[in-house]
Amino acid sequence: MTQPRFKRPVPHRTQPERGWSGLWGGPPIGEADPRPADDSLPFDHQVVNGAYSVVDDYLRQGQRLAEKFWLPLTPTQTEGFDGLAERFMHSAVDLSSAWLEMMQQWMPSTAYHAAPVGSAGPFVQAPEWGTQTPSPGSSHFPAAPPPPASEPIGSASSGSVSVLVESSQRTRVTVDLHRGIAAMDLLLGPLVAAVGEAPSIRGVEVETDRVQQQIDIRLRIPDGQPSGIYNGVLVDRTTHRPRGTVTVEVGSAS
Amino acid sequence: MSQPIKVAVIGGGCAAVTAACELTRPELRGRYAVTLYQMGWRLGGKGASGRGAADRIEEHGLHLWMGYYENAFRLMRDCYAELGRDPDRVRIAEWTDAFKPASFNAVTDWSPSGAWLTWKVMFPETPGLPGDPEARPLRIDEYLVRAATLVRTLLQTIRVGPQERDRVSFHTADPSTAPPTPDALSAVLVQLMKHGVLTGLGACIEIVGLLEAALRTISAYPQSLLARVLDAVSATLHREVAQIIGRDDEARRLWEVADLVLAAIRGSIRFRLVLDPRGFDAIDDFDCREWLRLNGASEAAINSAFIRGLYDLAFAYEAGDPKRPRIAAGSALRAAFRAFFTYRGAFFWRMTTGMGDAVFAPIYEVLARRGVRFEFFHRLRNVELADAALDSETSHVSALYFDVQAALVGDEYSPLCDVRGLPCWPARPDFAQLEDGARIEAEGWDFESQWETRIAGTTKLEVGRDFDLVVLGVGLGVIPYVCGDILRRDVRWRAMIEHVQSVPTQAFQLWLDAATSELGWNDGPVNVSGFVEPFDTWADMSHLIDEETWATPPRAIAYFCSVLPDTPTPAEGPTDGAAFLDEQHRCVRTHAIDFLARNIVHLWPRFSWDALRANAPDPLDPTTRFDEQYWTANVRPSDRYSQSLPGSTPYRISPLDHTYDNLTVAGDWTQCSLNLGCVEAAVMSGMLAAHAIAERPLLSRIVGYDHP
Repeated sequence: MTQPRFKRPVPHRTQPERGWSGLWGGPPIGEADPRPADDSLPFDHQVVNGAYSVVDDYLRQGQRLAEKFWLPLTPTQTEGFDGLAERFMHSAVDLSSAWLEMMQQWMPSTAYHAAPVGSAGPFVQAPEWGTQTPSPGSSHFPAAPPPPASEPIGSASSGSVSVLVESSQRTRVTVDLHRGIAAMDLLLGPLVAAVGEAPSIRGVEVETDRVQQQIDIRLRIPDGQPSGIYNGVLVDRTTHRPRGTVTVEVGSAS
Repeated sequence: MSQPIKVAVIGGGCAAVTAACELTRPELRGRYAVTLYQMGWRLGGKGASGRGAADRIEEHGLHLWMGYYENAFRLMRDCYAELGRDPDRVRIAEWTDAFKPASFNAVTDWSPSGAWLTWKVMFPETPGLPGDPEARPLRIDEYLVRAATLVRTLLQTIRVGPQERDRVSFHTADPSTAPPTPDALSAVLVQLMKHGVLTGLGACIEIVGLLEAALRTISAYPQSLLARVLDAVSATLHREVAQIIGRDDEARRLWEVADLVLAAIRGSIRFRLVLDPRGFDAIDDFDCREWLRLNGASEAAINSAFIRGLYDLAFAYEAGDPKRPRIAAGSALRAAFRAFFTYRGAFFWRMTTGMGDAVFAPIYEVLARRGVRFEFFHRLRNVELADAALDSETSHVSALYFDVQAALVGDEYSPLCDVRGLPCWPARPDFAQLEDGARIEAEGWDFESQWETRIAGTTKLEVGRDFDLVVLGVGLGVIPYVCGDILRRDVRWRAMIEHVQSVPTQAFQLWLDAATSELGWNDGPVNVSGFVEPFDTWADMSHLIDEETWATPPRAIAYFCSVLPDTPTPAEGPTDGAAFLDEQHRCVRTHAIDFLARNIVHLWPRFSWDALRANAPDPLDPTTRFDEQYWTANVRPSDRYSQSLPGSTPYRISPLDHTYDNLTVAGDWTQCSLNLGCVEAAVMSGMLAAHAIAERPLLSRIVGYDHP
């Protein structure tokens, strides 16, 4: 009878966890990683998407603005109407700026389309070797290419995102998304407390309309959810790779 | 006890021997029976060294270990502890005997005032030692806080002027000041921006301090605000500092570093690296200088001595061409942040003997003691895969084909020699242990070349009978020569070979009858980078004088190294291979002599050919004194250095990859998280290869594997 051939154990994972280990509690990385091994092609190496930069600022600043307007002033908030008005103006300016950025980045004809990949040319200060009295910037060096002028993020295919939050507490939401995510079938895991033992937020849903390039994220924060920061991973159901994060700050100060 | 699982480890470099060490740890209780197959007579790969005439140390190049090489130092500390050498009998008994801090470093640059200047830096000692427990690389936001602290300190140093500069310590900056609340800080930043208060160096220093506080809780701030603040700081600084640096070289250098660090911070924010699940990999498609420039670094900064020194350190010149400096931005930034902000003890550590003797001799002894079998003079020829059409299983290695380069006189080869009580590797094989050794020596067989076809025989190892699992730990340059079967069938391996590149290097060593101070260098033992090509790096290795056995000891020893421009390699065959090696060897000799004739004067103003130790120079041609020195053209496939070119990271294959269920790979060319050509990356890769087989060490024990 032939002896069975020895095989390597199937690894829990084949890549380092570069972005998440500092955010979660839980078991040591690699020893109890529940995600299946994935040997598919590596991440899309186009530079980070444009959507989340805008959504991030938009949500933060819009939420801050809303808080300033609609939440009652507490005794610790000593600023008067003038201060509030000034904050409103700041927020309005920031918000306008965010909208402008968003429009620029989502418009299909912006100057930037793909990550500029090249080099900065040779070291222009190195003298030609072999000369007894070298001089900098020898003429044989080709001129360095002009630097790209625009923000190296953004794409026309990032889609749009809506976030609906049901919460009786003050809540701040940040969504970070990879490029091209609107074309994926997504899964959002429970939002896990970044620090401490607070229960996870499980009332989370994500829906993707891949035709309209629309992502709807719905979050339901239970009454009495302890204050703190909670993080959840958006995972591509097909490749099981993380494609973004949702961060909720419950009970956050404005 | 069941039969041990037979593991064939192929290769003897850092990655392969690390895998062997991990698989034979006592806690695994002999579960794995390891046989290590090594081309030629010595372990070490690109880190191999040998003792030549007068026991002089002959290296592949210059090897310095960095203070963040946590895994590599842990390996060596465990190794020396297990070896338990008697310090009364062996002069290098502890790891601290083998490695010493090398804190004095310099980079060179061409001053606008019209001369090569060296910028000397004494890196301060930091708490702890590399390999101590509790190592924890930082998160990106933590790096950014440290980076902002560094910028603030550099600016303070620039501001005080040259007379008072020594009084400013890099440790005076207090990073622990309690930060204001995010809202308060945002309001201040907005106000400063709004009212145009940001004028003058002092205001910039203050706002960098605020920025430093903001970075501590980076997620609490609108990214666009931080980006705008950084833009404003940079614009003001460029304006303010320009007035100072024109007349102050020291200030110019400090500003260049500050400018680069500011660009790195700005880029990290603009590219959202803090929360990107790819970490620094997210920017690996960019060249590092290109990315820094994209994020506002000035042309002067990206061409500065500091950056050139970093590129030199990583041999980061595509195809060995000094005009094509390229390295993946994320991998470079990750390594730079780790190097500058997490080093322990010393920034650099140098070995007190040859790398072979400090690292691979003790590892060999430990492995031999654990029962590892060594098959020297075994050169891999092919890794044969099972025929997938006939085999419904996962693909696997069915056979390994080796050339037996020489038959042994006895049962096994004893590779080490004794240098005054210290086990060392010889520079040449011990021909007396080889059948037909005298003839082989006379004919000059090259045991470390893939191109040498003269062999004593061949052997085939079969899965199940001779091995169960394989660790392929050869160098990147060797893969095309030994993995023909895999490359024909596996598109990922072909892509890996196409995109992950290697480069030849060159080095020479001088034994001098003049002390470096007599040559005109007055600042003590140093490592210098960023100098001219073809040899951009010099290290004073005079501490090795006592390690060698000279009747009349030299007064100084100096090592030089650099990349070597790539040229097409020869067709296989003893004549072509030997001719190519001779040609490249002559080429390096020419480079070195030209360099000594024309360039060394900038570092050693009183250098003359008479300073070179020589027994029989041609009195009419003083350059013949060079012929008694040592030089090497590292052009053999196994000698080539693994690079990290932009865009190559996704093509690296992980040791954890499970395409072949009885094969894993190991080497600094693999996806090992650090992804650079260095000892630490190789050791991490070897640990991953062991994990792929034994699920040990735990991934959480590989320091920096889950690093962003």
